Amino acid sequence: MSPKNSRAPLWPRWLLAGPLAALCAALIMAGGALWLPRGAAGIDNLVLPILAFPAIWAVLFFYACLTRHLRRAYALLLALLLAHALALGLQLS
Amino acid sequence: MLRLPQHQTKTLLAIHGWSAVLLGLLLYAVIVTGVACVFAREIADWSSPLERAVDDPYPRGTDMALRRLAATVPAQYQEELFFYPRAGGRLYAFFHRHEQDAGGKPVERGVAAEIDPLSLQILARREGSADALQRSERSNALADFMVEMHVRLHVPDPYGLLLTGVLGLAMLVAAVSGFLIHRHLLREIFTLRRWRAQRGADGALLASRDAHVLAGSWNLPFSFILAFTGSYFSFASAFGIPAMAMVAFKGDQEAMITAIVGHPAQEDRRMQATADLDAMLADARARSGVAPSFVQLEHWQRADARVTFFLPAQGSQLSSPTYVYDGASGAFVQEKPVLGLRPSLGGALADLMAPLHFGNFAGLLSKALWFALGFAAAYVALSGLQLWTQRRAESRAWRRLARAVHWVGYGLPLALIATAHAYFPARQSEVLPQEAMMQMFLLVAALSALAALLIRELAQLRRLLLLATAVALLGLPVLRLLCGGPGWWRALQAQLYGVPALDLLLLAAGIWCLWLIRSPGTLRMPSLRELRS
Amino acid sequence: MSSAQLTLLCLLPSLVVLWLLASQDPKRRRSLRLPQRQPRLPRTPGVALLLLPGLLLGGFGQWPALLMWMGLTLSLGWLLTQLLAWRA
Repeated sequence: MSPKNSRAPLWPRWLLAGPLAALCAALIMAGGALWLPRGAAGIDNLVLPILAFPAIWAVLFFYACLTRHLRRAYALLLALLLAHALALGLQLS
Repeated sequence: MLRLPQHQTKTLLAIHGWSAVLLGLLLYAVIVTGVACVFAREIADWSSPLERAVDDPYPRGTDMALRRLAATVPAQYQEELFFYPRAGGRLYAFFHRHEQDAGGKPVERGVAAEIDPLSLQILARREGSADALQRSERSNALADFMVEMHVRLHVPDPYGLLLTGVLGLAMLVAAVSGFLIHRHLLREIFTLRRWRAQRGADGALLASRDAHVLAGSWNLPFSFILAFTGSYFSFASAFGIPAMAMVAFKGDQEAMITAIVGHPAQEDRRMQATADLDAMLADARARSGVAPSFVQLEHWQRADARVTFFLPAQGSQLSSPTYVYDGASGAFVQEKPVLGLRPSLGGALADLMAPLHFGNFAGLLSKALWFALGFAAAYVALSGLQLWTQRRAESRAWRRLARAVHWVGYGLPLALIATAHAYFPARQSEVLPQEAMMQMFLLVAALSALAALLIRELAQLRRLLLLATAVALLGLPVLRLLCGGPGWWRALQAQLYGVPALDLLLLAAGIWCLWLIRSPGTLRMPSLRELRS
Repeated sequence: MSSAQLTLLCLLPSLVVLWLLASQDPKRRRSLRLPQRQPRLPRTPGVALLLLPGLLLGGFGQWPALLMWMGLTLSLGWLLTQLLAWRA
């Protein structure tokens, strides 16, 4: 992406910004039900993640597209992804 | 202004352009139909008015009319009822029960009826699932067609909703990336070099660039709002609610919705007559000062019957609470937010989504404004696509996309207006309006595609499609009249002011299209001759 | 006062400021080959003045009026730029 590494293949970035960011956003939304506070009416943990889904995806997408530290971005997104997948797996099992 | 490194600006420009190229035409279709949907209720009133204007959507006797309808409804469908005013002020009532289809998706099935609030007679009665009822809709069909196109592009669930959700995200990406790449947002906010449009290929490109950047800059906050709220609505029902129900309610979406709305789960299935709805309506009106926009009654004729009144926004608020009544005694129980039993952050934010997306929080003024802002967003989408293809006009492949942009850009509004031409005769006959409208839409889309393939110069294609649109717009009030609609004098006498008002708007839009044909326009593809020179 | 009245009340000063900003905008004048003018209202205070009615509406919690003021200011700003480009 940057002039310095313009010859680097593009697919790792698009893999991160495309399917991984979408999957990560979906898992953060679903997993949010488990760790978000329930709020005054006891519904915030269910409502807020659905409301925030477009914003979560957009932040992850732009971060993945623009970051110069692709490895760090992979590490962060995979960590978020695995943590939520694990929490959801435990909840659903 | 934001100053991003050059490589990031280039990346953002690529994201901005390619997301538009890949999804822009579908996004344009969603925006254009969204613009029409702002006035969905007014379109329904105009296309299917009653004998005279309805002053009170829930007149005294509504209770009796609903009980008369209930007597004809099989007991299995009396689990729940909702009613609200629709086309022309007809009271639409739907007795139904909740089922799950083969895929586990919640489905409503029951008996729907339209009640004339002027005579309290049942005008139409149909039975089936909510989807089937919508397919056989008559009085509200024209507005429904536009809403279906906007919400899911007539693609079955959940794919249609997922598609429009992705389009919403694409619009969000375009708005954010457009903001970040436009370094001179304020410095160029008044710059439009329209006069350059006719001065060769370079001038046309500059004028198109100005037109796109200008409309995009002024419309930026609303594009963001509409994109965010739109993708929320699509994803929430297609994916968000099922996913959260899976996590927290073992996949039971009904249980999750009940929990979010905040109604207690205790059931009392004993039979008990439901109290007088007229009295509850009068009480809700006295408390709020307005007529409810929607009424829901759970457990008709049961001891645990509950009636919820949804109210329109008033005063300095963008949304309103709901009133809950005990259905068996008719007593007022509580005022509560739409979501949750008490005010909460999640409930308050969720309440904001509908007024921000629909612009229906302050009557006709806010709706007219949302119409204008939606129109500007459609212009931004179209001008952006045109600019992208114009910059690459020397390549044959991109000229093909430019042709597609002209086809969709000018052909889609034409096809949508043509659906109204199919609606009026279909409503008069035995034909299902939804089917007739879809056939007409596809026919006009195919004909305009044919024109796009056969006509060499894009300027000529634009003129032809604009002329056809003008003819369709100017002919629509005449067709409405020929198909039994009221004339202007009769409409004014019956206080149906929306009928002549919308007719006049259609005529004005038709004249504007004729003017556009004469005007070369700011957006202009350079001709082949200009490109070669 | 209704939301519509509040909106119109706040819109009027915003429109005056918009007009001033648009009519003296150096880039617009240059692009239309009009003579440059000494700005009567510098851009930064002008933009602040333009936004002031909106801030007041937000401060007093008049959300429908704030949204309508914002929508009208933005739509009319776009329209004004179109008209000024037409006239030139």
